[in-house]
Amino acid sequence: MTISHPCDHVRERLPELLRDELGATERRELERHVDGCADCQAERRVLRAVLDALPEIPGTLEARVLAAQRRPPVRPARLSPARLGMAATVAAAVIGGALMIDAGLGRPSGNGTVPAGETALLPAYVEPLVPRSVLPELTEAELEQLLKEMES
Amino acid sequence: MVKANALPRGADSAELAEAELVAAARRGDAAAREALTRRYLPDVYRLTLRILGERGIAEDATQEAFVSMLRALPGFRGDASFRTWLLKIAANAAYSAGRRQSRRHEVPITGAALHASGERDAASRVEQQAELARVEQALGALPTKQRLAVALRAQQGLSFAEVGAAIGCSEGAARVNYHLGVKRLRELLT
Repeated sequence: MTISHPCDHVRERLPELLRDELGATERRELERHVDGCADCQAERRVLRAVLDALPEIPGTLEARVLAAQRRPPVRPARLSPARLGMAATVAAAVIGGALMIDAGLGRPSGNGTVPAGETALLPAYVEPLVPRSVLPELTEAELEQLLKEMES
Repeated sequence: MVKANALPRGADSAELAEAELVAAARRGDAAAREALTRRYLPDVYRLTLRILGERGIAEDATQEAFVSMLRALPGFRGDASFRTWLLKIAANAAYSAGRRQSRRHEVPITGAALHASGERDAASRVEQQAELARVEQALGALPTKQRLAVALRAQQGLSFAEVGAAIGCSEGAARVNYHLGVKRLRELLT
């Protein structure tokens, strides 16, 4: 943008003038113009009002931010390889069990006994811990929880 | 210590100190990191407050911005000034917080001048508070980019290039938004 009119130049620099960030020479030149220009005076009044409305900084904010920076970053919980392997075994067993239940294996016959010649894969019909459809979606945290439940 | 030839030609002492602080913070110097945080906390908070309009959410966004700054600091290459770079992070943190809140409020009535008034009499304070409320209401009536351009330029002293970088537009668009915002303020406040 080309600034040709003196007022345009002065208004571009009014924030610096009000914040007292200009050198003495430029400040004098700008003030001389503003003192003789009603339009620039009006703009200076508005910008002064805006500058006076500068929000204060909450007193506790600095300490809060610095404390947050000192905290180590939160990382998702990781399972050790050994526990991951154990979790996978448990999950596989549960999934397998759920599949067998879904297929009718291990389900008790009408009289509640296992038919002759069939091996009871489960002692009786039991509900899976979680619905079969959900099992593949288990997170590490859920596997951890599952392990705890199995261990207790 | 930053090598002299890594600094911009004619860098003044403040710029030199900042370049050294940024370099030290990138190396993991906790004191430098805290000095940068203290230096720019007002800028970041006021920007997030202008975007969000509510102090509590702005404080959350400020904290998030400075934590994000630490994570991003190794990638800071100095293409923009550190302040511009940080304010972009702050604006993003504020916009994310705003999306989470899914609502906007008017900026609360605060003001350094009001709190610095000290022993002024009660009538004067009431007048001053009313004037601040009027200014805040007028600022709140501006479209977002105009409001941010005016606040960042007039209150925080950013250049138009820095304003543009912070609010996500060109330097020219930042200049236009600023002047339209000031023009509208003049209509509302005079």
